[in-house]
Amino acid sequence: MLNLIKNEWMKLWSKKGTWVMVIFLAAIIIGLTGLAKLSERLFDDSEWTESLETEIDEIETQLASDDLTERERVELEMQQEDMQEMVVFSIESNQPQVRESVIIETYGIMSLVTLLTIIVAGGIVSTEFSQGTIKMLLSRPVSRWKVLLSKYITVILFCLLATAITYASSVMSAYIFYSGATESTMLFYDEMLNVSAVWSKSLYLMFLSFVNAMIIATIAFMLGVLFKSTAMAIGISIFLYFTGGMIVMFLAKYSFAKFILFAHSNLTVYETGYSILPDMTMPFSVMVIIVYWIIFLVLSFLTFMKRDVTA
Amino acid sequence: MDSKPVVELQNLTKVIGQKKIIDNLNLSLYPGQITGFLGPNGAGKTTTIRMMVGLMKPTSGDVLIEGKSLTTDFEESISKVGVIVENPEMYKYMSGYKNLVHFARMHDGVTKERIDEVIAQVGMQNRIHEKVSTYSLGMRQRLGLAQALLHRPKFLILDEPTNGLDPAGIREFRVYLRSIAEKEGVSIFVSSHMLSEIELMCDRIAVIQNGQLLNVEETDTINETYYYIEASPIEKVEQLLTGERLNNGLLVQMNKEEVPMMVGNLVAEGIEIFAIQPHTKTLEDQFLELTGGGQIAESHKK
Repeated sequence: MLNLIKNEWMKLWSKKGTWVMVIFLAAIIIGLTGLAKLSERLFDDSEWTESLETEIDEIETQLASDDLTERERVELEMQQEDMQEMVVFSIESNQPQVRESVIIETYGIMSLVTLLTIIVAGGIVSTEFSQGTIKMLLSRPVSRWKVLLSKYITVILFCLLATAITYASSVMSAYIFYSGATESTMLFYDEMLNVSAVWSKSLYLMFLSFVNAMIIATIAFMLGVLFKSTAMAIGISIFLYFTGGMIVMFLAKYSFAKFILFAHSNLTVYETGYSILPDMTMPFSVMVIIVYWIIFLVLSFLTFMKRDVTA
Repeated sequence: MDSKPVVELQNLTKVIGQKKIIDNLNLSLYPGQITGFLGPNGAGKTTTIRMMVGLMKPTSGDVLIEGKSLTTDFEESISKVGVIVENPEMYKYMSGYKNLVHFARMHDGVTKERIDEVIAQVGMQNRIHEKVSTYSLGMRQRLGLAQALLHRPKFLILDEPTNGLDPAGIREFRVYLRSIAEKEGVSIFVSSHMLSEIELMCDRIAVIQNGQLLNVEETDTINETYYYIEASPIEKVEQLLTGERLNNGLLVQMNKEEVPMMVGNLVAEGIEIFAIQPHTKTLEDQFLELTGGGQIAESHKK
């Protein structure tokens, strides 16, 4: 088995495309973080805060006058409340980025890792068919399920590596471009977070995003096995990855929506509080993911083992 | 044949949809023997070969390799088989050497030394570290042979092996196959469209059509000698000799030693002889005879 994985790993890295992808990943992360630092100087939100504050003052003076109907008064008060919320937001977002906030937000770049893993997973089986090498691969004293398993493990390893590269280059550029937090707490999605908890929290978020990337990659892997077409496997998976959330939202009024994979695949929502459907819990989401995962893998393995190779 | 067969096809049958692609095929292959596999397009050659290497599963029947079933004991039985199915498709983006390492890892006990030995055997030392995408078709064939030989198979299956080789390469290839068959007792199964090639290379020839095995023959018996006799009146000749009409003459099977006597007889009968010439019945003639002009499969099955 180890030999088979070595083989797959060798084939993966013998392709120029893989190197290009990984280097591109590291470069884009470091580049984007640097760019964000540069644009921070260009865009200053403090003016927005000031204009908001003057508007609030104006509403205040309007409220002070006596010739207002009850309706007008309520409306103005509501407006004032909204304004005040926006002021808080503008001050918050105008906080200088610190090293810790960059690190903790790294999981947001994991969509890139997902894309790259989809490309690898969608092609790893189907290219063997399209290049005809599958004949050479399967007429060996190795059971087919071992061949397929070695390929799946290779996809997992690639995804892990890409995740590690993402985290490492994000942390690296955070240290290059930003200075450490001066206060002992920071704001993270309506919650105050202890700065010392940044490492564990950011790693946990990375892990949740890794799970998300892997489940999407498993779809690509399965489609690659079923259709023997790289383009189809990659295309459909990317489409589902980007529209999955929307599909769930469209179907939200139906009760079966909570059994759709994409209502659950992104587990980071339980940390940030932006769940697509209300009243979902982590254990339920994990359950749904596991069920889908097993279905995808069983389908892949059964098809691969039963198929007559005519390529 | 005195020794035990290396490979046995037992009632091998493959049905795809409603069609019987392979119909109850029985064939035994022996060590040290090169068996040719002939058949018109669509006769089921490739399907048979794919079932013999585990790429397709037979609908019924089995393939035994040294007594081990391919269906129930896949890893054990296939480990004795070396395969080149059609064009050897290699990983083009890797060097020839990496390709060999890749396949060596899938077998037990193929050492680095063995890889180097095989590379030397097929004469690829100079370019083995270059990418396969830069190789010519002939070099790919050599690399294909190298990967098939890595694990010292007892049985070698070759599908169209000389495709893309130049005449010198074909000859070298032939001599090489002969030598491993004789020295290492490897049983070799070659499918090819090149009849002359098969004739030169093989000890036995199996002909398949419409999924059925028509004939298995030793090549020696194919080389019977025929003489073409043109004489007048031809009807009289026909009374004296058994043979078939060909153009204006008669085709008669006989040995060289019998010719003078036959001429004497004909002259004694007052027959005018215009020409007597040896006629070699090629494998091609026999092949076309057997397969009825080699029409595409199933046409006379319906």
